[in-house]
Amino acid sequence: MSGRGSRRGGAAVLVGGALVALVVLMALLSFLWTPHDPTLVDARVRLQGPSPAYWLGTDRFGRDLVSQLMVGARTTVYVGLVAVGIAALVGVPLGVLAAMAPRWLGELLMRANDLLLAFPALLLAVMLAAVLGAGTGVAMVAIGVSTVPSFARVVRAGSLQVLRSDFVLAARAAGRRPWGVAVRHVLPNVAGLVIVQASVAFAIAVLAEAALSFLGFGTPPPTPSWGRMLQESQSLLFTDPRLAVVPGVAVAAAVLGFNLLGDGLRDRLDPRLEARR
Amino acid sequence: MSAALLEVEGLSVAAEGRPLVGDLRFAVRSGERVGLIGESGSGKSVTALALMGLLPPGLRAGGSVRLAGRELLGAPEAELSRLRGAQVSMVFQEPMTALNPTMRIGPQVAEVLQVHGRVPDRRSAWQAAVAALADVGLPDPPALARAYPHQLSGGQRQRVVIAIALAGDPALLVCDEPTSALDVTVQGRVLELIRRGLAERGAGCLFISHDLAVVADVCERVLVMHAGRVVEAGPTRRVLTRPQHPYTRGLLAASDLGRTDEHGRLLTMDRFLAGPPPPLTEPAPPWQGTAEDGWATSGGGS
Repeated sequence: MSGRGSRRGGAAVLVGGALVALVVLMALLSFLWTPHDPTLVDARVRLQGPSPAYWLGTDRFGRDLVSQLMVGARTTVYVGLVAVGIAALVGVPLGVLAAMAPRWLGELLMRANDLLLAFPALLLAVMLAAVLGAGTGVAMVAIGVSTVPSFARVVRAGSLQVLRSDFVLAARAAGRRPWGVAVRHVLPNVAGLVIVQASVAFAIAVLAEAALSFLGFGTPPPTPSWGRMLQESQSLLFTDPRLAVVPGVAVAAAVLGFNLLGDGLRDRLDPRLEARR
Repeated sequence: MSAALLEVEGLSVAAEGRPLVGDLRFAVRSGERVGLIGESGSGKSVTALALMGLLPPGLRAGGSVRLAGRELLGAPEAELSRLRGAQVSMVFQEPMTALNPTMRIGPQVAEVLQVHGRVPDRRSAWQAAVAALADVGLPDPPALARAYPHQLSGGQRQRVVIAIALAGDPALLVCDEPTSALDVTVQGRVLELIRRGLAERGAGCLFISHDLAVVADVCERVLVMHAGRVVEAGPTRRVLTRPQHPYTRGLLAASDLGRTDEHGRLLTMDRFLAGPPPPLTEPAPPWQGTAEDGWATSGGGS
């Protein structure tokens, strides 16, 4: 059983993990080294194709695409981490609370949650960005807030299941108060769900950040961002599609990586009360 | 006759108006082991949960449950939490699910001691947990305390569950089918463990089971429950050798593997019961228990 369990979702976790690792490594490496200065404008080398000096070529300002991609990965990972962090920090306690609270309060919380969930996340982010002004910080908060409901929903469902289990009854029979039950018994048993949800939410955050930057609500210039690279490529889409393909593939790979990782982890962690480790 | 430790009077449990258990009355004295037998669905486990104040949402209990003179029904949750694990604790049926799969064994045992402030710090909680594990006869307690539940066998897990239940030195232990999920070979040892744990603490026990042999082995007195009502009660030996109620006779005959019907099949319950049990909404049929059976509670012979 443990043999089969450890292999389930193995390929997805492997491929997803590799893609995610690539993005993260690119971001980390960019702090130490990039082939060129990603923001250096050099008219002499504008719109060059791939070459030994410029691996993926340059854009219309002569900026190196590889360097932009690497520093852009930084923005992607940063925005994703903070957005998912906000979503998890608010959504997880909210979900546990909604599961453990008296029925009317739980229902009230979840209906409010549904209201937020019914709102397209990107629209909410655009709205917040429009009200608060464009910027990386606003994008992170906006994406984070709009991802809260999905966390709360998943965690509530998982918590309800855990709360029905014998060991929660046993903990209560041993005199555990609700707070202790939540922290010691419910949270560790929904951790798997939270990890899965986090990696899926990360994928959504990557996409949302790119979309916001594309729309001009995200990271302001000159800081490189995949979304803005896409936007800048728009006018040259037919003359030089390379400029759109490079950041497009990067976004797709990151989103795919986080989604695969999430799916694989879900397969691996889902029969949660079976033997693990 | 010492004062009753647990006094249950007129206990009823209902799910959204539909009664599950009706007008239960019995008492358990300190150091006494009382059996509660009956088939699945007769209301045994619901009774146990009602005593602990742990009925699932939607189920309501009425009547009176007093532990050492303190009324439990309707008591605030904070007060019940203080009593649970310290004054009254419970051994569950299914050792595979009664332990938290994400928590090591040691902390799960230590938890009950910490909750009730029996130990000053984590270190002594750990030591006390290891001692409690040694006390229930588990091999290599220090290593076992660091193990996760899935690394243990069913019998070992049930020992851990018992260690947790006894760790707080409760005055009353409620056992809900503690050996039903175990191998027959392990059953006897686990029962002995429970008996010893109770004797060492002078604790009373309400022992729920459908296994007459186990009840005969453990309990001094027994209540027979059928369709939410106690239909017969008395000293174990008398009830099991000279049953008065047809249901009890049926239970006994159905567990007697030496007896078969005219077709050579083992006996089933339905041939002993005249028809469906009376609904709990109707008043209980007169029950022929006597005061000397010891079922009268504080009021004396009724």
